[in-house]
Amino acid sequence: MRSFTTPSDIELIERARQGNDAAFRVLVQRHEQQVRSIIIGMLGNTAESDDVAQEVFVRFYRSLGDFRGEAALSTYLSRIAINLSLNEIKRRDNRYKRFAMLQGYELQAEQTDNCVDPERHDIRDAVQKALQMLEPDFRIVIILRLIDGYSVKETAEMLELPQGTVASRLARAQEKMKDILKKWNIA
Amino acid sequence: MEQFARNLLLHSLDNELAPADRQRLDEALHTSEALQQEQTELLQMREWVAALRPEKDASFADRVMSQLPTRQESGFWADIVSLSPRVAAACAIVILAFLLSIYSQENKIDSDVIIGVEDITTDDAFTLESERKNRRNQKNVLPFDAPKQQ
Repeated sequence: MRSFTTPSDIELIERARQGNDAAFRVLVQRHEQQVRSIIIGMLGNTAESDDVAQEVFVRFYRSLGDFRGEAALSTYLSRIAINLSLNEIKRRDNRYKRFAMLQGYELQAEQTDNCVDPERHDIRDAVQKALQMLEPDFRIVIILRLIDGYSVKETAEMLELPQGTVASRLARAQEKMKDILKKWNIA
Repeated sequence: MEQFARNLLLHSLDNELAPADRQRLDEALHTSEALQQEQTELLQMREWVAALRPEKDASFADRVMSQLPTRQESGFWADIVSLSPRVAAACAIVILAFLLSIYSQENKIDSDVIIGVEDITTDDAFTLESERKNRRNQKNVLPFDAPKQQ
């Protein structure tokens, strides 16, 4: 049971709807870590990730009136974060393709070469880079399950996928990551 | 058998195994050093991945709050633009093209030009009204050869 000093998300949302921005700030503080972990996991730790994380909360603020509370706020924000990250990945890919076309060479190869340099990074950086090398479909299950700590069932619900698909993507993603880290002599 | 045991190991990390599979995995772990090594590496990697969770950022909420639209901004038009920016942009382009086409024909833009009444004077208005009345009167007079209705 919550005490009076820690209002629930629903109570804070109701106050924010009535124009109480301080209540909205508490919601941001409460959920920023989880939203940022999804976006940094998907996009890497860049200034662009920070912009996308801010955009998640701006969108939520704009749709305060539409939030019906059918899903937990954390789930709702995670879904927005996943969608915006996937959009950003598509935009990034298109930018790379256009640039590569203009330059007349394949950028992907150069990008991969920069990643495979274990000497320059500590383990945390290397693991982050290994995560970035996974396909987005595999990356997101790793983030939700291993970083944010959702169960396989919750991850499946969030991604609207069967549990079996999530379980097999999770298994394959871990194998791939382990292979990448092994190649860098880290695992 | 080795691959089967590896798959069981991977699945056991996130799912509850059936009792028979659990027993097979335990037996395989007991006998295979390679599988034990695999398990250690996977658990280590999962710890590293879990540690990627970012620290709380004290200034993040400030950055978000400075991005929020003000209450005045969230009015009717702001809501339309936020609901469908593409539709709003398309409408703006159509209106701009319409105004440009008028400007290219008339060399000026004002409300009379847009409505199409810029050359009409008060006298024109009276003339138009009297013409309209004449037409109405002519319609009420039947032509000579028209058959009379019984």
